[in-house]
Amino acid sequence: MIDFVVQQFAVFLTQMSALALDPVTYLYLFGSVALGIVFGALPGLTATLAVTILTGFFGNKFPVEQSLIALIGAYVGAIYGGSYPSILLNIPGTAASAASALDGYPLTRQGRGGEALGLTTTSSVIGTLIGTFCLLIFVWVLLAVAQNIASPEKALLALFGILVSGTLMSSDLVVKGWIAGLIGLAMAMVGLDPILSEHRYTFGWSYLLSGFLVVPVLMGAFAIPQIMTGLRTGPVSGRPPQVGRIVPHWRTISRNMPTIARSGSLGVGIGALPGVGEDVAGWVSYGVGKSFSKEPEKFGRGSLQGLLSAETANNACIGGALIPLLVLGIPGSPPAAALLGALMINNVTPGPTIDPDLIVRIVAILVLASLATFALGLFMARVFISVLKVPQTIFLPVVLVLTTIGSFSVGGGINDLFIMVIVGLFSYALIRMEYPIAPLVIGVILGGLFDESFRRAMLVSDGDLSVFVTRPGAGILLFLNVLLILSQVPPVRRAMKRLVARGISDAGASDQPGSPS
Amino acid sequence: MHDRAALRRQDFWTALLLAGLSLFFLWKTSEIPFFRANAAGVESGRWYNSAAIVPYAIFATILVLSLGLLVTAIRQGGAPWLRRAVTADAETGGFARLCAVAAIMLFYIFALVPRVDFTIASALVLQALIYGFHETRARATAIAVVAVAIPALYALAMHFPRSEWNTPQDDDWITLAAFVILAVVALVETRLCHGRLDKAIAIAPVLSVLVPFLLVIAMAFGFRQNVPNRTGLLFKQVEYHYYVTVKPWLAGKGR
Repeated sequence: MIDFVVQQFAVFLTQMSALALDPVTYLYLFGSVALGIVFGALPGLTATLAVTILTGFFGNKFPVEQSLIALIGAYVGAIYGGSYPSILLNIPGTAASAASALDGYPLTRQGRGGEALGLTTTSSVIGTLIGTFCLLIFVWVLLAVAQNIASPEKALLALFGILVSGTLMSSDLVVKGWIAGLIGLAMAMVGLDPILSEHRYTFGWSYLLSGFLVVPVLMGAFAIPQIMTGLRTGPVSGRPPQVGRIVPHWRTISRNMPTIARSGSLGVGIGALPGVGEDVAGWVSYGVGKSFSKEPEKFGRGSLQGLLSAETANNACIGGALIPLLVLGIPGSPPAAALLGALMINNVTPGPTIDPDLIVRIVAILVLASLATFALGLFMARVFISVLKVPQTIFLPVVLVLTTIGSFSVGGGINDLFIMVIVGLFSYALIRMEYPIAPLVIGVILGGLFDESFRRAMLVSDGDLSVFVTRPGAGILLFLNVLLILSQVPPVRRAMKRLVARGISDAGASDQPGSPS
Repeated sequence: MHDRAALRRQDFWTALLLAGLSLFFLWKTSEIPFFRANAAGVESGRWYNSAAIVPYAIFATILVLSLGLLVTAIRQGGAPWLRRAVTADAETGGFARLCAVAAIMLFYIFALVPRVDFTIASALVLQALIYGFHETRARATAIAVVAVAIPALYALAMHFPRSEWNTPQDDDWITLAAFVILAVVALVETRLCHGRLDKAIAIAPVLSVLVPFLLVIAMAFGFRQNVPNRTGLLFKQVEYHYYVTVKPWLAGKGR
């Protein structure tokens, strides 16, 4: 085991030094991280949008190794950048940093905004590095497992990704998350089918023969609703307060190291769940941090532990989200879905057959991106704070133009723009009715994989459905899928609650003196 | 975001719509061969290999889930009173602004971008969105929508077929004129309304021209990507001078 880890680090250091010695790396890296921080800092713009817009710019005209520096840099920068308005203005820059506002803003009101920003920067970097370390180690273990994954497991994994995303991302009824995922799956059915080349739902429009392209769908689903919501609301900007010293004290960091380590591990775990993003990681880690804390009453009133729990986890989630993406081609979060779109238009297919060098290179880029975030976050924070003064009625129209040209350039030209707007208006309507959008996008991305894998499995087994039960991996995944569905069915939930309550009361009764042990 | 009762009222109608759509797509799926298929001259007559099997499962599940949503919506008091939910939104003026944003966006993507020079079309839309939505004033929003609608409808009416998207440039000139008029109107009207000029409105005309201009140049010559309407009024000149003036000059300098 130790030999394996040492060997991995040797390969990683080789890739890292190759990247570090190339001056072009720094141009892409600092440019994209700064852009990502600005995107994260501007309320309404998200990490997914930053990665998607850059995908439109880089397209497939640049080597994928170079594009990845920009895309991952923007991803890391944007997740971190969301903390600025959360801490200073109580307006979450991204959904991922919503939990940070609970303690970040009270700290600013106590005159400790600079300290909060410095600690957030440090914990974000440590979180990203924890995620990166886990990615470097676990991706190989899972890749070895993934070699044994065949069509039945692939189909069930894709279904599991859509179901998990639909279940965990729903803010209202879980059924809405599932419906959103199924609508995404249905959208993925459009075009020529992958096995028999039958026309499906093209309605005579030749453009639809190749199905929905990922980038216009991503831009439509994530950019258009934000633009519409933002312009409907009117100008939202703030006057950020003056902040003092930003560089954190080492003593404070070391005192909070257990919180950072725990939140980092949690973030990686949640990130590795298909389709569950940084926002869930932030909230779950915040809740866990509160239950572990010796001073839970301070949470929500300016607790450093609360702030660090949320911020470390949402950054650690990045490494975690890349694990299922690289091993199985299933994105772990919405920005990872955008990254998958970029890989797909560059003809890189994530999964068991992915080039191992590319994985190590991605790990090296993540490390460099987190170091660039650290440098920019500590020494250029005041520049990013000044960005908060820009009202959304100025930058959202600019985003419309950016997404238009980005979507146009990627492939299908003007037809992609039509799809982008139609998907955007539809997504806006869904968001207004509290349907989550991430499952829809995950459905569009995984729909092709699900369709092809399911039918291949059926073809190989000659129509025998037991193939989904008899194979051990498929059996486990089927069990998880069924369990997930049943856990959300109201009568089953009520029965489970009754069982748990009865178990607790039985345990209570057995603890009574005189009861049989 | 919403009060629960209003949300359930929307859920009621959404569930009905989803059920209707899933039935329609189940019917469309029935057009895909299920028990016997002949693809590219090859007979493949097994149900489990059919291109319809997964879509059948998807739309049947959507149908079941939408019926489940319908039941939930009815149980939680969502069946009647839909009109009240809509009027509540309309009363705040939010609904009108939303319709205005959607209209500008649709005019931009479906009428202007395919037919008009990208920089000019984007400048008009940027100016309209900044002026029309920076303040919550109904008059500014209405002026912005009209300013985008006139050149967009003209472009649609005069150059609807795809064959005419790139050739004539009269729609480019009309869009440019609409942009200039809107920029002037925005400056004057805001000043008359408030007695002073808001910083965002003041910089809007410059920003509206610079952003798309720099973007299209960066995309076309920096990132080497395809850009919309290469024969547009402005881009045609830029591209010509890039290849005829700038590139030879740079090559000569490098020698």
